[in-house]
Amino acid sequence: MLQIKNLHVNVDNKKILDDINLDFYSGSTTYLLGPNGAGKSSFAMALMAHPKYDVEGEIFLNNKAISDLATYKRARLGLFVSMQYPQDLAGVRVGEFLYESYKALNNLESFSRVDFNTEFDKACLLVGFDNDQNRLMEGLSGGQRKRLELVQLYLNKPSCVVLDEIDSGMDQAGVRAISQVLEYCRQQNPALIVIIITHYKDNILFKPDRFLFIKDGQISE
Amino acid sequence: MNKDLSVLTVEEISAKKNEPNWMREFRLQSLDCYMQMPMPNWGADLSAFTEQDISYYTQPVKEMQYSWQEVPAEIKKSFDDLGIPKAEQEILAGVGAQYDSELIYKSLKQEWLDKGVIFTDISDALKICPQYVEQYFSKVVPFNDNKFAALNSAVWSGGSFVYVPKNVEITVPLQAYFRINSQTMGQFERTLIIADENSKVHYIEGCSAPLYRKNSLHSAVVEVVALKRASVRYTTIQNWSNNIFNLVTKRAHAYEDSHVEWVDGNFGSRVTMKYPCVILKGKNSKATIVSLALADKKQHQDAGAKVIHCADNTSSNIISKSISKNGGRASYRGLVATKPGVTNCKTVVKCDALLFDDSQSDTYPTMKIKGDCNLEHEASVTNVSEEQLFYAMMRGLEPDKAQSMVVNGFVGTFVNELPLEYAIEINRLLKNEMEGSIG
Repeated sequence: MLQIKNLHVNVDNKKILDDINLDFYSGSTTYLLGPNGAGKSSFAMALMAHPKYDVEGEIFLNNKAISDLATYKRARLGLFVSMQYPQDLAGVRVGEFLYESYKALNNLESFSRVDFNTEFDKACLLVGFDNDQNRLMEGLSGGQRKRLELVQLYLNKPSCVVLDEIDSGMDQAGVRAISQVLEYCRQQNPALIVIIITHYKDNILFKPDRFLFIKDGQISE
Repeated sequence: MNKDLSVLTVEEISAKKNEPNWMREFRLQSLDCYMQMPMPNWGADLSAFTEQDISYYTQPVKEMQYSWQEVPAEIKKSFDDLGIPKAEQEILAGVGAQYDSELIYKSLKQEWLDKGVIFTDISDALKICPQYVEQYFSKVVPFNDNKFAALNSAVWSGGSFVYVPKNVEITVPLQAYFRINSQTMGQFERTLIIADENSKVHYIEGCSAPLYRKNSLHSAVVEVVALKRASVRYTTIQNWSNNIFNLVTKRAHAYEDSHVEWVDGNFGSRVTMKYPCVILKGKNSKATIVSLALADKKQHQDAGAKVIHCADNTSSNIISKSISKNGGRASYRGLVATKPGVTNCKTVVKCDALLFDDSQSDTYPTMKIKGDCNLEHEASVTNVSEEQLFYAMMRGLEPDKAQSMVVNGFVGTFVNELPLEYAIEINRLLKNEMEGSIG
């Protein structure tokens, strides 16, 4: 379960979220909706301790307090947030980054590259991403960036996933891939918590249990 | 020997080396020029530099030595981190005077000898092949080019001489490392490389281990002559201790259909001013200058590249990368010029700077283009963005690891130009340099 208690989020001294209290149950799927600038992405970034956001309050992931943990430690506890605009990492190769990330998230000093490659190829096939590991993480199209996030979601097998507008800029095949990867992850881990941030209530990527609306710093059902 | 810089001391140096008269005259003329020229009023701040910094120049090698105990602890530590054997550590630190490298390169040496390659100390070259030295010495970098070139011309000592005969291709890089002795990396080294027609050579100097010197001025001159259809690549990796003023003049003449490449990695030092230059004198000649500078706390790397297109169909490619951290400053200073009337020249200049927190980077690109030229120029300054590091950390990477991922990606185009063993060393060096720079 992901529990949020008295969460306050500010950016540049501007109040974005005001005293949020929410529970996301294991195995549940939640849609977080709201107009542009309402604070949807801020919510996702606050969960991950983005340095730009001032965050107060408590966050528990599977009964473990994570509010004071550094970003990478939250990630290693199984919190996966996909970015609305994934960053370019100039000169960094896809294979290298994902392999290092894979080892880090699984707390492995070393891991068979061959086994990793097999997993990587499977993920790429499902997502529709070129499985060339030498590809650079720069200059990818919007859709390709989003697909690369899905490849990582597939590989990283989190316990809680927050997808921030993963469907924007995706073609139909891409949207289908989102559902397929989520299905795969839920299969692997039935307790997976899914939070989907989107503009479109009608764009159902994965069967929702509830809808939340974000407005004026508040989140309500 | 008199320590002060005077006509007498310069004559003593020349006499001690048994030099021909023309070299003695050349030194004296250069000294005169050095005395008259003002300090450069552009580039890095040299106000902290005093004449005392050159007071060691006349000391013979033996007296220049100091003991291993005097080498600073952090330098010793980085030797250990880089896994360098003790004997080599001493040489790199300027402690050891001789290094028996005979065994290492005996077979290579024989191969070079058989092909007529001359690879020796430049003073020896004056005796072995005076005709080449007289023909080319200081023809690329005139003694009055700049104040420090004049100083080097007056008091130079040590440095390599390479002559590669016509149609000879040397497949293994020539490394100054192989003929290492305290003079090789002296204060005023002088290097001259002549690649005769249709020959090919790759020369490497330095290594990624830190070089410690007690005296704080390093002022070298490197001259390269690439005759018709020759190909010369000159790779430098230097990691000076942070008391050093590193003021170096490097220049090449490229004749018809030749290709000159400078690959230049500058780490450490207090101030570096270095702008490898290629003068494209012959039709269809090419220049490639790839450089990387890392400026740490209280360091200023003022580095760049110069290309002068003097003939038709010439092309140049400049890639400059710099990293500044902990308040260090990296500047790119470049010049691309064409001689009026030349046609069909092409130049591509790409400068990228990577900045950490409150560090500084600036670029001073100068273009003097007349005539028919295709010019591309691109400069980018990237703050190692919080966003990039955050993204990597969001995927489980620790801050240090995230940072080295970003840095390694950034320097990729430079490292790819290096021979494998150097690439590995550079990556290791960068990793050491970057450790602990963010929280």
